[in-house]
Amino acid sequence: MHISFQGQVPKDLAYPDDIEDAFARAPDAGRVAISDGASESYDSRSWARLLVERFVADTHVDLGWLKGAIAAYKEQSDFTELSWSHQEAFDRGSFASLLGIEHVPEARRLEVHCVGDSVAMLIDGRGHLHRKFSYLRSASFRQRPNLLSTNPARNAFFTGWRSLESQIALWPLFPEEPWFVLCMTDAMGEWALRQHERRQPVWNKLLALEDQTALNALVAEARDNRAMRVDDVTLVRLAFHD
Amino acid sequence: MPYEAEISRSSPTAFLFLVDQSTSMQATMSNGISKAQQVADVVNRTLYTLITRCTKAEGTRDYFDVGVLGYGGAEIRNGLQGALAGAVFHPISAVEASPLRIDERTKKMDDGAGGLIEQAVKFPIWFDPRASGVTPMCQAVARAADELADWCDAHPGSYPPTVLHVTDGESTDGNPERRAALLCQLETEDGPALMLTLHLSTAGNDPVRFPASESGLPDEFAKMLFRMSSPLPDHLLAIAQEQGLPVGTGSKGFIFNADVVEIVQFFDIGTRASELR
Repeated sequence: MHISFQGQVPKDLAYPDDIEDAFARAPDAGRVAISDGASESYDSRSWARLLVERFVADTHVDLGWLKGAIAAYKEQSDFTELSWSHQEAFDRGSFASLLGIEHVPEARRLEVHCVGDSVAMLIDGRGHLHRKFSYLRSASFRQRPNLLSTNPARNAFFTGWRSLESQIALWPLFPEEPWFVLCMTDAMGEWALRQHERRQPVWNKLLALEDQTALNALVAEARDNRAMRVDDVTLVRLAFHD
Repeated sequence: MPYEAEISRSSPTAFLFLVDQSTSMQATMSNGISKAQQVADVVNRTLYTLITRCTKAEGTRDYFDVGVLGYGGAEIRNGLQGALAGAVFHPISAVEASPLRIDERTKKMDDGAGGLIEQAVKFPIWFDPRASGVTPMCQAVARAADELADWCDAHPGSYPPTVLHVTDGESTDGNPERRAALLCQLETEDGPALMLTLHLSTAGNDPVRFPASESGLPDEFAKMLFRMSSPLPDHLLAIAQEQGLPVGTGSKGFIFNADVVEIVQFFDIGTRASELR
């Protein structure tokens, strides 16, 4: 597995440092993760970063894993030193999706884990879509996603990945041919799936992206055409071939 | 489609609370608290919630401009005082920075182990209750329209402003319907201004929530306030439906004879606007 492309575009070009998506990788271990921090959150950027970094270090995501992540997040702030508005916003919580990929080469398989509205697509070398996870249709992005929260009361839906089929997919990587996985946060995922449903697929465009400038241009055009919602965009392309 | 503009720091939206402060607001509600106190509590709570929604680790982002106008007796007054007394609308970060005072209250928190703990929290106060004099509703709606006209001129691409009007009494300076209609004609490129009305009646009638017709309302005054109110846009209909309220196509932003819970719900729905980014 190697990462053949990674790029991000902020939702607000006037505030490029405010991007709240995160990406982490441990290619030697065959792991990558992306996370989309929710805008209405106290510090979703830190929370998203913490989730992806902890995933690539330990993919056994269960309630204990989540509890550890929340504890690490809370250690970053001294609650008593915060102003009243920061205290309330801190209590309200930070929210983020988590899409984690683990390559199991001996089994020629990918394990795809997802909570929330980030998505992964399995594309073959000819640009044909084979699998998608966890959203299957662009309309799914209109629903309110379950996101991992720093507020334990908001995580009642989550019991651990291994116990929820809706949060894990196993993708075989055969027959032998180049395979690509596109990992995307929601705005790009919704756009790409909608284009696919309209029989105007964009997979070859995404496979051909070579640098950040090309990604910027693609996102700007889609936003200008009102085809892509204005939100942070993260795209990571994984390549698998012998 | 209207009401789809995304709300950002470079394209904020506005909320204007228009609050009846006439003598009749001294009447007590079923929980023993005066209407004026109850409304002040909810306005303060709503400002607090709006600020919380905009507060990030690095500070409070100006997604909203907020103002409060009170009317009672001979005057229409700025409901925000102290450092905020100089203008009606303020960016939400300025509101965050300038409460009149900060009270301390307790709230129950999840302890992360299945239990609840009580935690002291600071509760800022911006708006104090007041109840005296007659009800100059025509003047109040006209003043609100003036403020909104300026705001719309300055923010042509923004999600339109929302007026949350709270009243319990009959207008004493004429019929405000025409002025309300003019207010609702003010618009940005994303649609016309919204006027949502909470009618705190002292009549013993059953509550009426977000009706689509005036036929079930008990008196002419309630019917007039219904006509002054805007139809709920689709995304607010969806939020009301999520909260289990009986809304449908044509439902207006109007609640008659609400209890305390419904007052909180009304303010929550009225201040959702569209997605922040």
